[in-house]
Amino acid sequence: MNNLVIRRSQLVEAVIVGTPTTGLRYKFTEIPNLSRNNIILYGVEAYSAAELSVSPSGKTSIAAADVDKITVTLKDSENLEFVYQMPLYDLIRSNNAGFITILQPRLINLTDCYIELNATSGISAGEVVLFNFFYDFATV
Amino acid sequence: MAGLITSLLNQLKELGLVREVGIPFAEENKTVYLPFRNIGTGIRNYFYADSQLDGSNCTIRAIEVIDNTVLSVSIGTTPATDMLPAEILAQAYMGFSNSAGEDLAMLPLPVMIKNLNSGKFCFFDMSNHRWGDCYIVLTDTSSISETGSLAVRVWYTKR
Repeated sequence: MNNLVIRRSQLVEAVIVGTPTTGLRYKFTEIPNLSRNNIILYGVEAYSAAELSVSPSGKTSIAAADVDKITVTLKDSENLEFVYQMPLYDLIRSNNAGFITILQPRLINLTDCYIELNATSGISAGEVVLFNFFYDFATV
Repeated sequence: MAGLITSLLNQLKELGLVREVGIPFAEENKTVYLPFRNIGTGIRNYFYADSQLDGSNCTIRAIEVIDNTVLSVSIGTTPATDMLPAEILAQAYMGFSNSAGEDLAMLPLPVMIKNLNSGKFCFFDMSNHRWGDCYIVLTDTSSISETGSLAVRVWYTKR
């Protein structure tokens, strides 16, 4: 079995803006580091409060107990949903025998990626779902 | 389909973006201690400079954060400081920087605790960092005091 090797990573947030609502798309915030068009994403990991209780921007992370109410969609530079409604639970390393999710390397469209809530109980406005995007430059 | 996956895996291996678990991957390792000297949210607590761990002298292959389950009391600081439990370590992340001040990677500490991740190492391929510019940031200071410390095991290969 293989596990991901980290060369560069960037913490990314998806904020629950306003009253938590099912069916809404909560988009990822823009990160200038990842907006350069020569960035290739090859792995992703998600965090709940069990991994980082407060985000670097000072927002409260989603509780570990609420992780199973959220799905994640990632879109590439051609607007294709190459990961569609993946359960957030599956992206948390400690839930998956310590393995980090490995992706086919590709350019991403960060601000079109989003999370969705399938239930809202226990989730509060202003909470954040944290991700780590593992990337390298397009020369690889 | 199996051929497609094998091809992709081989491609990732050739690029060094994945590594087999359970086989030797580093020549040496050492434990580095970081007593918390600046308790405040968002403040960078820098590791002491260690040229042996600089990217100019080694490639970091894995990092392991030690919690109080693995080691109850720090042995490397005077006075000895208390190792922190994983719940408290979830209030901090580690950052890697190069000498130009560019942030290379940021990871929450529990992600690098082996016993929380089924014994899996957190693999790196880091050779453009400067150890003295790597740091820990607290995003929440609850239950953290200057009697707490962090121990990090660095697995590396000399260059």
